[in-house]
Formats: sequence, structure tokens, C-alpha cells
Amino acid sequence: MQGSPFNPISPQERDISNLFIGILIAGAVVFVLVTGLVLFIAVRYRHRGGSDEPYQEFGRRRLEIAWTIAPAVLLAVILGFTVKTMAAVSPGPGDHPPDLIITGYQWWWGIQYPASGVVTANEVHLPVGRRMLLQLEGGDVIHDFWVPQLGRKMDMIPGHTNWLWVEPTQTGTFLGACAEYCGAEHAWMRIRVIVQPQAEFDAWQRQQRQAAVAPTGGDAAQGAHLFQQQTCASCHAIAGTGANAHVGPDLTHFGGRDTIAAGVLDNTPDNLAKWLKSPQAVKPGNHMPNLQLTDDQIRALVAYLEAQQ
Amino acid sequence: MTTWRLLTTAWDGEPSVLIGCTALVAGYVAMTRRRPSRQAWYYFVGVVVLLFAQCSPLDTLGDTYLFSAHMIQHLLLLLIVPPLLILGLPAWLVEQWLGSPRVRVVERVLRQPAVAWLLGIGAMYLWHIPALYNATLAHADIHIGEHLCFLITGVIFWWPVCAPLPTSRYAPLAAMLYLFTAAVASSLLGIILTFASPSLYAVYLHPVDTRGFLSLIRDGWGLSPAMDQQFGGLIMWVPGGLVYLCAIVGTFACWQGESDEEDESRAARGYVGSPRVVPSSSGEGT
Amino acid sequence: MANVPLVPELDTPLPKVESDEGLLSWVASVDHKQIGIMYLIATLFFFVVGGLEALLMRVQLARPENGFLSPAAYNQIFTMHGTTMVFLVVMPMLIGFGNYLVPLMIGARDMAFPRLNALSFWLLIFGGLLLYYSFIGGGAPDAGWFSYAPLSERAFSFTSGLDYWALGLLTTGIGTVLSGINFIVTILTQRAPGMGIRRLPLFVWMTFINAMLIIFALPILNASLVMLLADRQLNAHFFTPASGGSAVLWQHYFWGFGHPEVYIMVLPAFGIISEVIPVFSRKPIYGYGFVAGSTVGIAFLSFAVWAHHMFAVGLGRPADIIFAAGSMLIAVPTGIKIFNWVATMWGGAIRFTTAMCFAMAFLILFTIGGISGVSFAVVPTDWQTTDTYYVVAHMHYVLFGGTLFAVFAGIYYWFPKVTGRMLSEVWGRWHFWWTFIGFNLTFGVQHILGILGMPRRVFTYPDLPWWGVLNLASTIGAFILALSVAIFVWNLIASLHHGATAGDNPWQAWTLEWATTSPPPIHNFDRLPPIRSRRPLWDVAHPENPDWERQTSQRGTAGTAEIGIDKNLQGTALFLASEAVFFVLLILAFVYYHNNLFNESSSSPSNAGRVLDPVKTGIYTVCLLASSATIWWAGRSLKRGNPTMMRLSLLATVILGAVFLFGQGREYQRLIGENVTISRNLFGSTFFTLTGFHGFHVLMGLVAIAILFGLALRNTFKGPHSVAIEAVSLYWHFVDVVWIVIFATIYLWARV
Repeated sequence: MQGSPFNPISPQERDISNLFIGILIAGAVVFVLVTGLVLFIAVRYRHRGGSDEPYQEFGRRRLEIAWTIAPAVLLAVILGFTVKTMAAVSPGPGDHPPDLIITGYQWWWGIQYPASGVVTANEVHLPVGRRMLLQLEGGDVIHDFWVPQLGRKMDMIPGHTNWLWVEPTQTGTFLGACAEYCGAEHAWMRIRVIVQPQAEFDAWQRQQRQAAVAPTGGDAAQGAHLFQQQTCASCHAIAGTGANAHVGPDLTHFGGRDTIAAGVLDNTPDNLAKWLKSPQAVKPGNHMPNLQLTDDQIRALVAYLEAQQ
Repeated sequence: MTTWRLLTTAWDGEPSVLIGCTALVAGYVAMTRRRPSRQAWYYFVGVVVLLFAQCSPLDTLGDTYLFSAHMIQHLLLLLIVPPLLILGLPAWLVEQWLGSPRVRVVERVLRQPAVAWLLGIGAMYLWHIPALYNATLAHADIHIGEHLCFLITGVIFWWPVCAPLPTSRYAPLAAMLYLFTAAVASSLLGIILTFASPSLYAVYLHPVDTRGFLSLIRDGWGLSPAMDQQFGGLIMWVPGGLVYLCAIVGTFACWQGESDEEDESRAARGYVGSPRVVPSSSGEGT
Repeated sequence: MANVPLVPELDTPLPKVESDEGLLSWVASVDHKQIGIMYLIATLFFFVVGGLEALLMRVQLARPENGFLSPAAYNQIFTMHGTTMVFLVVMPMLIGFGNYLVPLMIGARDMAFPRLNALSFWLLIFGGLLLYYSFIGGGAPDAGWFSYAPLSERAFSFTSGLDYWALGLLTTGIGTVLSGINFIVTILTQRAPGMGIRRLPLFVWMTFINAMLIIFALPILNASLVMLLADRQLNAHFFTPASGGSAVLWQHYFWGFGHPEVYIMVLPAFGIISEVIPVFSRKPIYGYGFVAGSTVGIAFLSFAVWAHHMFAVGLGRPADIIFAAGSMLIAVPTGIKIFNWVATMWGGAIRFTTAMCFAMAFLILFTIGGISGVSFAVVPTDWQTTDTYYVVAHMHYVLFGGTLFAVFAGIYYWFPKVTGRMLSEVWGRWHFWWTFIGFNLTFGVQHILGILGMPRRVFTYPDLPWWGVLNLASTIGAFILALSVAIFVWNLIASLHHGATAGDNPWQAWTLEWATTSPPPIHNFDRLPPIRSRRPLWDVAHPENPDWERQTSQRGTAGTAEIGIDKNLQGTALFLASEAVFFVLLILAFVYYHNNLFNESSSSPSNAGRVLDPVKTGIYTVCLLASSATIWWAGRSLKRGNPTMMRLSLLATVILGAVFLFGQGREYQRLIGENVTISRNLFGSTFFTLTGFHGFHVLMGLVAIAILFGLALRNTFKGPHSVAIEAVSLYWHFVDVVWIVIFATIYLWARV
């Protein structure tokens, strides 16, 4: 579910959300005051005929000083809360090694778990209740990692590493997106965060670590062959096979993912076939060329890829 | 070590500072004894700020631990203390001083915009050259010299903005331009310091922990050397710039508050950046 | 009422245009009123174009996963929408108002530099055409109006769209700087007798401060564009992380310009509001000094808050805290203005004309924009709201609900003065209400979309709960807005032909532009009323209760204080101030990348720095500095009445300058021989861009001095002073000072 920052699933986001609600209330009060005053004046001091000019008043210094200081005090209070929340929400990385390295590319997410060596794409798995340090990198242009319910957004800038602490306290799938304009398909650079209980997460990680199972026969075996023979392998990697290029997303265990091409399509065999038939029709401008595959080739490749659970 | 302990124990009065401040107060009292005025408050607040800058934990922190604390101290010496001291001088006293032709000549030279501006901003740039800056931290004498230099150039810089005698001051628009360009120049230095790598001032990278504050600063306050230098640069840039802004707004307010006669009489005297009065019947001047 | 001064004549008569009718009288015009009208018409045209682009976007976004526009088309259109609205609509529209009104409001005959004024306008038009030519020249720019590197670099944006973008903005940017200079000098030198600086109408004062912002902020953009162009065309490395450049530096530079730009786009609008509200409340502006002074505060602070656009970049906590504080602080002077406008209405006798309706709506909508703006100063909430539709909503509340509502108020207020006819109030009321409803529907719901997590600059979006409905509502609002603009244009055209005759002063207003006929004659005024306060026409209408008796600070009599500097020299000095900013940016780029001084850069250019020869260049430097002395001597010789010595000094200046250029040429030759080029590495990029631009300035100066020398040979310079020589000297000294800084930075400091 895509939720708003007001449905926090982490203590960091809860702090932000509380602060946000606070300043919205303060803002609403100011708005009601100013608008109320303007409307009151509009009614009370409207011209009611006659040609006499009203009393000509040029200003009062005390009043001016009052409405200089009052907002300044209000803002000083807000600043205090701001600084306090900043420290709580986004502490520095310290000496902690990153638990995850997420790299933004045009228009997909590369995800690595350095400790376990798992490499995946577009779908982040996190264990519930554990503080994790994300290291964020920009692979080509500037991107931005943003999952509203999880916490702040953070830019992913080439040549400028950023770190982000996350601590999900609720299991489920949470949606996010790239929040820095990054070119043609910026709109379809969506990310999902799947928060699982620790045991489930460990199981997922174990499963991800296994190399691909070579299919023994049928369409899938033919697909495996095609994958190496057609140019797929010159951009994509599948662990345990000869394919180890990292131009496009890592496709090891692709079949276990929810979506295709960073959220454009649900991951079903039909959709995958549609994608392989013409990537540019599904996600115009993306960097995957149309490989002019025949329907048979597509069926074989779909069978192979969907089998990479 | 807690923040509270630091704030209560890290005070120390160096003799040079105490002597200097006593001299400042004594001299002032001796000269104005016969005609005390309310302005004196500015002067005494100025001296108190000076004492604070030199004797409080700010000084201890700045000397050994924190670039940012040192920056605050410098800004106090350069931007806060001098205008307060100047504002505290009664006009008649200054008039007396300027009675001497020699003093008058010096004063006139020093309040030339180029001179005052370059001295005020130049001091700031000069002492941030890493070699000089590091030398001040290594040698107490140079350090005292640096602080004196800030005080003196500060007085020269602020004199044409807030001198007690209006004849020494710039015209309002000229003063605002003077302050604005100074703010830009000091902001530039602040920007450079903010984004410079933290190796600029080596002392703060690995402070000699003479007073045992280091763990409090690094762990308690979470200030790494990089953050510290960033804070220092930012303090020069934004709060430092705000001091100039306050001066600009103050100048503007005084100008708005005065009557046209004052405005025009100042214009008629014709000095630096002064508007020239054109008789209304003659149309446009050339 | 003893003295009824005449309007001062310009010191040089304007050229007479052969035909005073037809197209030529407009194209060739140097009259500030005609230029002002052309500005307004041109920007209105671009407003319609930008509005149509917005409609296309809203159609595409009307429902989820819509296929109306391709992503490439959408990205080009949103880039052009932003760029058009900022650079071709809002900023020049306000400059157009200033052009028409400033001379009239200060009782002047024209701007200080009428021909320069025409140049500014035509540069705007050419810049706009260049920008739009990109559509047929291979594809429009598609990296957003902010063109973040490295997306805007050739590696990722390979059509020529961004080149047109950069060139178009440079062209309009130069024109805008020239406008800024013109406004400042006009306001300083062309005021009628009695119009002291402190008696300026607030619109003029805000235009003055705005012009200050322009000459300091626009060069920042120009310098960044030059570096971007060097990257794209000459393979330099300023903003390419792959070869050591910094993606963050572009953001610093862009927002260093971009945030002052926000205030450039809003200060004159504040000025319009400050004129409209008092007249229709029948009271003087409340707290003139505070409104004027807070403008100074805003202008100053606007340079110290840019990093709040970059809180998501990860600049570190110290920077975030300080910039948060600065950004909150700027709300204080803005609040002062709002309160003073409200206080102006308090106790008045409000006339609800269309202009006043727009002004009062401005108060409410701008307050909403200001309040939502606070959530970008509060860093943690910025981390959520930045780059979402929340920003889109906020920014339109400020620029549309703020500036454009003020512009509409201004158009209804001054249309009678410009055309001699009133705009229809009936159509005006329709225009107002449809605009108000359409605007709030379009942009109000976008606040919610942002909070629901919709990023901005997306060509489509998945079908998540509420997203489709809210976007559809926004699209409907946009069409209502389009309808309101159509009503407005209809009103303009119809009223121009059939509107009621206005008379000199239909609103019984108090500032000088209402003291002349509607439309004003070509020379603006036949006679001026005495100017003894901020409201000269009030004093005329109410001799029993004049302002100058009420306000102590207004109790002066005659005389206008003028800055005792020739207007041409003032103009030159201001131009050099903006040039200084330009060079500071180039120097900062060098310093930023030098020798790993900053954490960002990965490759150290210092090794290449070893190829420089400070001794040899030092000798040429001495030549350049000596030429400063010779040109000073030329001016002195003229003063002393020694034309021969003056000619010799000018000749010596030309020779010394040429020697310097020769030396620089030799150095370039040597460096390129050693394969140190602009595309080699960061040192090459920064070194050649910086010294190259300086060399270009030297060359221009040499041309100017050579012309002076030629004129001197023909005995053109007689009197003890020559403004031409003084202005060129000033320029030449400036070029030398810049070189001293460059030499110290590159040849001395960088080699240590």
C-alpha cells in the first residue's frame, strides 16, 4: 500500500509526522487569523457611500514591532523542534558498515546486501524491528530514494554518497518512488519495500544466495540457452550462469519479484512477454533495446525467467 | 565531564585581557566622569561582551578544540564589540578628539570607504590563511596580536557606519551599499570555509585534550572535526551576515526616522557618497 | 504651492522616429511607455503559450497511466512550461510594469538609458525565440527548468535542446541585467525635484531593490550556464561526476541564483499591491518605513537561504540547521508586509473594484503560500514534501496566487492610464471569480497529492487510491483557469475599443502617474504638481490636510538629493558589479576543484597546475597593471589640458594590454602543446574558462581603448572631463583587479 507520511511505519517517520502535524496546526491558526481578518475588514470597512475620506493613519511603531516579534518567536520555537527532530530522524552513519547499498540507475534500483552478498533489483526486503543503515549511490544521474511511510527522502548523487537509517516496525509491502527528476522514465522508477519478520527475511536471504537452478528441459531450458545467446547476457546478470553484466538489473531470482521494470507491470508471464516483445512500447525511453524476438523465443525466455524463483 | 561542568569550569581570565578591559573601562570613566550619559551602557556592554569572548568557555574551546567556537569569538571581536564601543562614545568627547588636526587627518583617511572596507574585510581574510591561523594557535603572542587586530580593524570598519558625529558617517544609501558588499565578501569566506575539507586547520583535527573535554565534544555533542569546520564556516556566513543585515536595517530605520532637513543638511555637507543638493528651480543637474 | 516645477528634460534629446504610427514606431521605439507595453504584450503572449503547455500536462495527468503524451514530450513540455513562466513571463512582466511606471511615478521624462532599455527588450524576445526554436531544432530541453547536472550533460541529454535552453537564458539574462542597471540609475538620477528617495512610491522602491537583486543574482545563472555550455560543447568537466566534476556544485550555483530569483519574481508584485490597496482603501500605506525596510531585509536574506532547496542532498546537519534558520527568518519581513497591508485596509472605506478583489485575494493566497513554505524550512518535513506535488502547489500559490494575482490587480488598476479607457468591471468580476475558483481547485488539491506521495515531474502515475480523482479535479481546475484567461483577454480587447473613457485620474489615486493625461503624452508630463510628500496628488486634493504637515519625516521643502556621479559612470559601475559576481563564480569553481581542497572532487587537478609558469605570467601581469596606470594618466592629462600626453598614454595602454594578451596567447599555445586543454581535466576546464573569459574582457577593453585613441586623434575630447574615458578607465581597472585575483589564486596560491 502506498501510504502518506502520516501513516508512519518507523519511529523516524513518526517523529516527522508529529512535527508536520504540529506545523500544520500552527499554519492553520495563522491562516484563519489572516483570512478572518481580511474577511472581517471586507465586511466592516466596505465603502458605504459618501465622498468623505476615512481617517488617514500612517502607522504605529509599537504595533509594527509587535508583529515583527510575534512571528519571530513562533518561528524560533519551530526551529527548536526542527533541530530536535533532525537529530532523532537522520543521525550520521557513524562507523557502522552499511546493511544495504542501493544505487539508482535510469530507471531502476540496484540493491546489494554486502553482508550476505545478495544482489537484487527494485524490491527491497527488510526485517521488521531492526535498525538498518542504507548506503545510497547515484549510478548515472541524480535519483532520490523515497518511501513516505518509512521516513525521509534522500538523494542518490553520483560522486556523493549518502546514508540513511531505517527501522520499520510493521510488516507489509510499502511503496515508494524516485523523487528526483532523472529523465524520460522518472515516473516509472518506483520501488517497493517488503518488510518481513526476521525469520522470513532470513529465509528470503538464504534463498536469494543460492545460484540459479539450470532448467533441465522444455521451454525454460531453451530460454536459458537463448538468454546467453541473444544479447540478454551482455546487460543482465544471473548468478550461477555465465551472465554477469551489470548494465541492467540483476535477474537472479527474477521470478520471485512482484513487478517488472521498476513498477510498470505486475510480474506475470503475459506481462513479461509483452515487455520482451517491445520494451519501448511498455516503458518508452528506457535503455533496453527491442531485441526483435520471435514469439517462440519470447515464450522460452518467459518460461526461463519466471522459473528463476 | 558534562556540558554543565564545562560551562562552569572553563572560565579563565588571562592577565592581558583583564588589564586591557580594565584600561578600557578606566579610560572611559576618567574621560566621561563629568558628563555621564545613558550611552555609556553601550560601551560597558561592549566591554562585557569583550570579556565574555576572551574569558568564557568559548575561549577555551576555541583555542584547542573547536573551530566553530573560535569563529564565534572572532565574530564577537570584529562585529559586535566595536560597534558597541563606538555607540557608547558621547559625541562631545569625539568632537574634542577631532579638535586636534592630526587626529582629524587620520580619521578622515581611515573613514575612506576603500580603506575602512579593506581593513575590516582584509583582517578577516588575512587571519584565515591556514599558515597564519595555525601560527596563532601555536603562539600566544601572535594570538593576542590577532585579537587586537580584529578589535582595531573592527572599530575602523564600523566607525563610518555608527560614529557618534554624523559628519563622520556615510550617507544612508552609501552605508547600506558598504555594509552589503562587506556582507557579501564575508559570506564568500564563510562559504569557502564551509565547503573546504577539514584538513585546513590541522590543530582541530586532533586536538590536544588538555582539559579533558574531547569525549564530551565528540560523543556528547556529536561534533566531528568536519562538522565543526562546517559549523564555523556557516556561522561566519549566515549569522555573521545577519549582523551586517541588522546594521543595514538599522541604518535604514534611522534614515526613515529623521526629517528631511537632517537628510538635506547632511547632503549639503558633501562628503563620501553624499547626495548633492540640486536647487529645485534649476531642473536637472548634469 | 510656490514652486510648480517642470519635468527635467533629458540631457540628450531622443532620436526622432520618422513615422510615429504603424509598426516601425514600435519596433524602433526607445520610449519607455511603448517598450513597457511591448513587454506586457509579449509576456502575455508567452503566458498564454506557457498556459497551453500547462493544459497539455494536465490533460496527460487527468487519469492514471494516460497515454496522451509520450514521456519525452511531457518532459519537454514541463521544462518549457517552467522556463517560460519564470524567464519569459513573470520576471519580464514585472520589468514591463516597471518600465512603464517607474519614470511616470518619479516624474521623469524617460529611463536613464532609453536605447539600452530597447536592447533589453529585444534581447528578451530573441532569447525567447531561441528557446522556442528548440522545438523545431531537434527537440526542446527536457531536464527541467533547474537542469540538474549530470542529467543536463551531453551524456544524458544528447539533443541540442539544452544548448538552446542555455543560450536562450543567457540572452534574456544579459537583457535582464541591463534592465536592472537601467532601473537603478533611473531611480537614482532621473527623479523630479522634490521626489527624495524616501518619498518614492513603494512600487518604485521595490523595483529599485529588485533591480539590485537582479544585478547580483542573474550573473550567477549566467556563469553557471557558461560552465554548462563549456561542458556540453567543449567537453569540459565542471558538472560531470564521472570525470571528477561535482553534481552538487551545479545545485549550489543554480539555487544561489534560483532563490533570489523567487524574490525577483515577487518583490515588484508586492510593490503593485502596496499601490493598489491604499488607493482602494482610501488610506495611505500603513508603516511605509517597515514595508520598505522589510524589502531590504528580504533582498539580503534571499541570498542566504538557497540550500533549503537542497535539504535532501545530504549537505550535513550544520548546513541544514543554519539554512533552516535563515529560511524561517525570511518569513518575518514577509509577514511584516502582510500585516501592514491588512492594517492599511483597517479603518478604510474599501472600494471593491476588480483590482482590489485581486489584491485582497492575493493577501489570502500568498499567506497560504507562505504557510506551506514554512514546511520547506522545517528540515524534517521538507524531507517528506520536497520534490512532491506539495511543492508544485506551494510554488503556484506564491507565483500565481501571489505574483500573477498582483499583476492582474495591476493591470486593472493601470489599464486606464495606459490606454485611456477603463477595463470592464463586469467582465472583470467574471474574470476574478473564475480565476479564484479555478486556481484554488487546480493547485489546492495538489497539496493533498503531494502528501499522498505523488512525486513531481512525473508524466504519469499508477492508479493508487485517490490519486486519479484528485488529479482529475486539478485538471478540471486548470480548464476553468484557462476559461478565466480567455475572459481576461476578451476583456482587454473589448475594453480597448469600447471601454468607458478614463480621464486623468479615475481612481482618485495619489501618485504622480495620475497627474498626467491618460494615455500620457510622449514627454510624459506638461507640468508636475509640487512634490512635498509621498502622496503629491493627495496634497493637491486636500490642501487643508496635506501629508507633509502630518508626517514629521516629510517636512522638507525643496531640492532633490542626487548622487553626484554621472549616470553613465553609475551604469558602468553597476555593470562591473554584476561582472564581478560572474567572475567570482568562475573563481569559486576553480577553488572548489583545486587540489582536493573540497571533499567533493575525486581527481586532483593540481598536477596539471605545475605546468604554469608564474614568473613569465608575472611579467605580463606587470604589463597589464602598468596599463592601468597609463589609462589613469590619460584621464589626468586630459584634465590638465595636455592632449598629446593623453594620446600617448592611450596608445601605451593599448600596447601594454596587447602585450598581455600576447603573453596569454603564448601560454595557451604552450599548454595546448603539452596537451593541457579544456577537456583534459578539471584544471583545464576551470583554468581555460576563467582566464579565457578574462582574456575576452581584456580584448573588449582594448577595442574600447583603441576607439578612444582614434577619437582622441580626431580631437574629440575637449573639456577637462570625458565620461567616455572615465567609464572605460573604470572598466579597465576592474579587468586588472580581476586579473590580480586570478593571478593570486591560480598562479600563486594554487601552486603551493
